[in-house]
Amino acid sequence: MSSAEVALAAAPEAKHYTGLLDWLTTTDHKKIGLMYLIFSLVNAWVGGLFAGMVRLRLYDPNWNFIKPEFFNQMLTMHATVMIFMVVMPAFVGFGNYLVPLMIGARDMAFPKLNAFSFWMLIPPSLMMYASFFTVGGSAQGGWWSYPPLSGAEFSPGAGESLWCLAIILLGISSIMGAVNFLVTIADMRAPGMGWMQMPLFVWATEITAWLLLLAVPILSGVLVMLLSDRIFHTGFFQPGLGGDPLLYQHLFWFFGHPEVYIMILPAFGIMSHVLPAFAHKPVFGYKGMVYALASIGVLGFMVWAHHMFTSGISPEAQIFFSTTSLIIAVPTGVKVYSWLASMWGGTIDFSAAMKFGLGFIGLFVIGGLNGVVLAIVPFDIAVHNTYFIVAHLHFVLFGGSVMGLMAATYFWFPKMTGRRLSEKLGNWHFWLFFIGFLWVFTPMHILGIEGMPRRVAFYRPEFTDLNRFISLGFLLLLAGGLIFTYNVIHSIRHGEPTPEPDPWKINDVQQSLEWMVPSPPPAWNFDEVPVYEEG
Amino acid sequence: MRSRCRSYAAGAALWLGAAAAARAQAPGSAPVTNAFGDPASSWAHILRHTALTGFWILFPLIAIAEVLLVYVIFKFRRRPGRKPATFHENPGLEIFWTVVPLLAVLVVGLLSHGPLHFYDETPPPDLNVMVVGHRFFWEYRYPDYGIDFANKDLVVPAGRNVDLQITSVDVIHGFYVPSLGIQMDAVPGRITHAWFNAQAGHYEGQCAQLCGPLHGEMWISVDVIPPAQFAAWLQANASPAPAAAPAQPAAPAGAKPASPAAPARPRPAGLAKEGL
Repeated sequence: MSSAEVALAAAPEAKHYTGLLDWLTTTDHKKIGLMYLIFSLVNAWVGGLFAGMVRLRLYDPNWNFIKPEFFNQMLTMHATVMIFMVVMPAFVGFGNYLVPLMIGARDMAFPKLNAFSFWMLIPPSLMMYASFFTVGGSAQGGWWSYPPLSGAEFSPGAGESLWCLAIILLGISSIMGAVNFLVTIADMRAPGMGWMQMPLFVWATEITAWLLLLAVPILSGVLVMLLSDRIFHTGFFQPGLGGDPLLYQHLFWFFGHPEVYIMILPAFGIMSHVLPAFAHKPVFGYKGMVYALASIGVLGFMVWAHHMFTSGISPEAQIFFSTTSLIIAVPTGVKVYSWLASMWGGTIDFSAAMKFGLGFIGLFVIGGLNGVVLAIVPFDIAVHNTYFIVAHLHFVLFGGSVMGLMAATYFWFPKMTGRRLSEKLGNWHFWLFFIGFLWVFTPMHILGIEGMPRRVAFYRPEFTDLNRFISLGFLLLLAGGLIFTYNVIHSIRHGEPTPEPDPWKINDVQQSLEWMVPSPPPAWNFDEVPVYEEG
Repeated sequence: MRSRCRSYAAGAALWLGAAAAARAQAPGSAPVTNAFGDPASSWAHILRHTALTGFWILFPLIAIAEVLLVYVIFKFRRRPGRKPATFHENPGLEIFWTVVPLLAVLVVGLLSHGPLHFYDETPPPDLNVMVVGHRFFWEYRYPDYGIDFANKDLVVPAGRNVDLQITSVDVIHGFYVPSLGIQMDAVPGRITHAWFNAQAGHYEGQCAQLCGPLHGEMWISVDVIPPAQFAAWLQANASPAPAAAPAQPAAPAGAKPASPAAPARPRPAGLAKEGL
């Protein structure tokens, strides 16, 4: 008997559901991963439409059908949805699907906890959407929710409290997921697969899980304090009661900065798979890549107050955090140069996945440049809280994280579904996203340098032309999103079939185990648990 | 007699202006200028120089990556008959592209120490101004002259050290005047600090920290005028008698109106003026 048959035989009482009930009760990491990805795609539309509202108002600030209060709700919830209900779940979805396969395991260490982590996303998401229907609407103090603005006096409605509670619950899902990944990777690697033989996406997930485990509880804590101030009138952040708004900022950003690395490290892992695959070479500098991931993880906890250079922190603090923020650019640069070397001398196929991978490098590197100059305190003083920052964050989160997710989708869709996504539609999607992205976000550098703050529903007349230009670019991104969504929905049923294990024909240059099982893999992943051998 | 008439007239005009001031202001008539295109203070020039130097040191590290990316895309596309290379490590190269960027960022860091020292070591002030953020307007006080007004230009002398003590009565606001190189949060319960020595001119800014629905309408205007003119302005506006003090501007429900003589909200003991 194969070890799979042994495993199945050991569970004679296991119920086997079909259809919807199967999806609702499954603990299979592959199905759970797919549910995370569907959840993410649905919320991407919501978050994207919120951004559309922001750009609509900024086309003409005299259009008062989008009132300033609603504008503030839109910008707050755009960021909240994109961060907590799109990017994070999407990377967890890919991690869930791929990590057990990549390490030769049949499932995650705690399959029931895994299911619980996914279903934990649903109540807080419903809370977020329900908050729009409370008196005063949803949270509207920005996604960082700084008090006193987010306190009881200035955000009196239930929307802000629902936001805090929802984030705490979403955080519980993240913490449980992190524990699951850490134990799975530590304990369930195939015989012969040491730490330095794991694929780089598994390494990226490992470091990300550590960041989640250490940072998310801080967020939960600070939001409990904020809720306590709001509901029980404690004074953690209320100056009149002896509290300090800056305490909130330190605690929030102690989470908030590792959070942005949580949102980019998995994309780094994805790049280390996609780029070498379509250049038909092994990845360059595996050890350096691992050390870079780990350094970014550690340094990521030491840079947080670069979000607070103009908050009133001391000069000594400014110098410390400026220095660490400059240094963290170094391991990031090591990764970029290593990806270039991974393609050097290769034979590149420009599949849709590869286009998104190359687009990632092109755009993320610009985000790295506008980011590292922000570590120069005098420069940050000039452009903090302006559209320069909005440009930077979108270059790294859209040009980086989202392009990475797109590359991952086109790359692993055949594995997950046994069908290809349309390369022709993928081409349209890529160019609409790439050109649309540059159209929307490049001019924001100029707006920031020229002094237009962020989160404003009114701007000076001289900023009108650039704002209108930017708002028009949104339409390109919208078109790209529509084509992508259609491509996914259509190809699940009608895409070109690819039942073979290695549809991209890359097993001669890389050893990742997911490409050695059928597409899609059977429920038990491997007929025989693989024994990993070097070479 | 004449100067008394003038000061009464000025007081009345001030009162009328303040009382009539809408909660939402209109942006100033001049376009906003910034520290990169039009540095207008001693600090703004240093800021601009430091930022540009740092940028040009870091830029090559990034530009090389982009140029190589384009090169890779064109040079290494699949072509019939060409086999892909198989190398996957090169320790010398890896050390090079770790050490060189590390040196570059450390140089950039060191270069900003002097400028930060300049910014943080406030020279002896020639004028003290208290900037108070409200939802949704800015109040300016000149404690040495008994001046207190809101919703109007901040008037200061050119070529003199102007010291700003910044705070808020409600939520966090951001005092931001790009051309002067100034940005500092106005935090309730704290007094934050900025200073500048500016050339004559008119400089526009805007609140830079989300503070509520009318955050985008908290415009800032700074009038930097020659010292002689400023002395005259002081004369015209300084009001020793409380009866002539400007009325409090209409404040939205929820904001606490501050009286001109009241000190800033008492700070909790042990909290540093500026600190971590």
